[in-house]
Amino acid sequence: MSGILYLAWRHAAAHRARTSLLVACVALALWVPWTAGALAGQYDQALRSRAAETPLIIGAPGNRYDLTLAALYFRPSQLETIPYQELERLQEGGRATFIPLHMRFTARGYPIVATSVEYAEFRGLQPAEGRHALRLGEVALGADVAAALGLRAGDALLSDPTELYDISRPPALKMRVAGVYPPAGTPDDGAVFCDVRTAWVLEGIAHGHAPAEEIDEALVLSRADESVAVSGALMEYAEVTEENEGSFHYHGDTALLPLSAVLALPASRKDGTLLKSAVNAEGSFQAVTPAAVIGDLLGVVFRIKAFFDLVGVFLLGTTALLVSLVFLLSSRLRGAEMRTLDRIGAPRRVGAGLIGIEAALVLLLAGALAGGATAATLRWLPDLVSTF
Amino acid sequence: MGTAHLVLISALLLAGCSDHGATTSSPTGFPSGGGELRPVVAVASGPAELLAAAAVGPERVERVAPEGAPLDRWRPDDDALDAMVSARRVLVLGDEAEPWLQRAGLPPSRTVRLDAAIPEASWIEVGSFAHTHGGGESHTHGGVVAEAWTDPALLRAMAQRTRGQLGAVLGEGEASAPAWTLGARIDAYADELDALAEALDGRALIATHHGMEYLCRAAGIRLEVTELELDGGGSHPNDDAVRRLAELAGQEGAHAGVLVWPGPLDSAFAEKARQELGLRSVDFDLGASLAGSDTLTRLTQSTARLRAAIAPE
Repeated sequence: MSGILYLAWRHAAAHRARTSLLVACVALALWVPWTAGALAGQYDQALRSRAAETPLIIGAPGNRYDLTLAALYFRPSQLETIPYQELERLQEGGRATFIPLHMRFTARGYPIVATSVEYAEFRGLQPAEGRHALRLGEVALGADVAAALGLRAGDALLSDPTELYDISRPPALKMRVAGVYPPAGTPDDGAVFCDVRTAWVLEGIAHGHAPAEEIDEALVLSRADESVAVSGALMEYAEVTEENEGSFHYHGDTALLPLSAVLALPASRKDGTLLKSAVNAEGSFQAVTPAAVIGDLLGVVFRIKAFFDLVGVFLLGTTALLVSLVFLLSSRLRGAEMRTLDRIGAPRRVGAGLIGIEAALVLLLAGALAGGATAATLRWLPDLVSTF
Repeated sequence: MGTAHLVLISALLLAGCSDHGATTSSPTGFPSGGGELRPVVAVASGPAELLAAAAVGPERVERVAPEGAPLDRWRPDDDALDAMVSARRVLVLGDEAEPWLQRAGLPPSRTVRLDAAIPEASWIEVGSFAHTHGGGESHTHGGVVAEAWTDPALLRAMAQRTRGQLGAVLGEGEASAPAWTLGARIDAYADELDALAEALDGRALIATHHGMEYLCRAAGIRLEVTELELDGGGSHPNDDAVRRLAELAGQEGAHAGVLVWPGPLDSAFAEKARQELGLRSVDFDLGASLAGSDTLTRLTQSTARLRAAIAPE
């Protein structure tokens, strides 16, 4: 180590408290914009990539941001539903593959995403254990859900009741875990998947119970040749088993069963354009391109972000000025030391060099500390995108 | 707009100082979700097998239900479900004929429903059973006769839909010859129905099941149905239905003197009906389940057998 470097190092080491404070101040001033920038970049990429992977979303008229975020991130929303027959009608057009989505319920706080096996195929989800949820009352768990609840294929999971004290509402459904998906690093990890028919059981639109002609007479309010009115106290099956599966049935017209949204995977760009314009021109429902919706949302965010960029610049500038002031004052306090150097024949630039090297040392340490802190933050901060 | 606001605020809090270039989305190269699908049509019923074989050739049709399994009671096991999910297409009759469809998660984009080919007005409704649960809405069970394929015109409509839906996916070229043959066979079945109607000469058929409604309507045959609720296993018949059957049998000259069993024939009751009511029992295979011969063959043979069994006036 050359003499000047050694002297700078010894001075910094001799004034540990001052040096540590300087390093911490500079590191903090660097860590905030670095971390925020890196996080923003990550989220921006993650948000846009999931949106870009999803060509079209069709849903009820209303807020397109709500529709997109509900369909991509399973965010709870107050979206109007669309009837299942709309999916069938679209399917007849043959322009795309249509995937139903129903997301109004939760199980142990995790969103229940009722869909079809095409969703798993589309997102590349292959069960790591068990199989897809293909039967009424079955679920397949995202990796995070399975890990957090400690569930495996063959276990059971209860849905969250919607109306705890209303006996006419369907009770919580005990669902069998058919399979577990491997980690995908997407919101799918935090979801409970089931067939869309299971959601209709949760809605109370489909249910199973003993045959009407075998119901306890105490529960029958009136009986005629072709109709019977049964008390609301009639216990519906709260679990679908091999024995009672055959008794599950729908109320009313199955074509009108509700969906939250429909994912459309057009066969080509042209089909996508024609499909979107046809749906929007008709007006009963809306078709949105998630990439455009998320792009709009992030566009607004990043316009405002320019202001925060400026704040970051000011923060760094202020810190730089304060650090300069510290070194300036420090150089005055070191007047005797500089005179000694001059008397023993050291060149005049050595004094400035000592202060410069010490400042560089502080910056280097602060940069390393800020870099490490940024990496640690990115590593340990919960993945906000997957739980968006 | 609540969620959007939340997102905006969240993103603002998270947004840092470096702007990463926006990526542009490309809607090309959409995953089809069917990369590993087997080039077969999965079927669980006789009519679906008949129509699929005519549309894409029998070598591309895969049975997922065992031979003779009754459609209204069959439940696919895990292997059958896996086979259907991995098939390029699943051809099904609809919820009425195949109730298991209401409880199985088939992929909608790969499931072709034959009931979609039937105009709403063509369905035949029978006595339904409505019930309510407390303050809930009234809902109905039953009500529609499922065996629409027994009507030649409706079978043609189903065949046309099958060709349209399967041909484009599994190759229409190979379908043309069997499809043409199917048309001729449906014509032959229709002729057999006409011959049956002619032999009946206005007399009614008495049947134990509504399954014959469509073929009788197509041929202009009067049908009287009395649902005995017998499963062929020695169970006790529905008393009301027995009384109704006795009334019908008593109207001499108005019926053909046969009791047609579209469902399982109960030998004990058949013998009783012959001795006490003078009705000869004839079984009639509607071709619903999978069997050794196809649905149309069974329908045509059953019609011919019934015509031969009709007592002379």
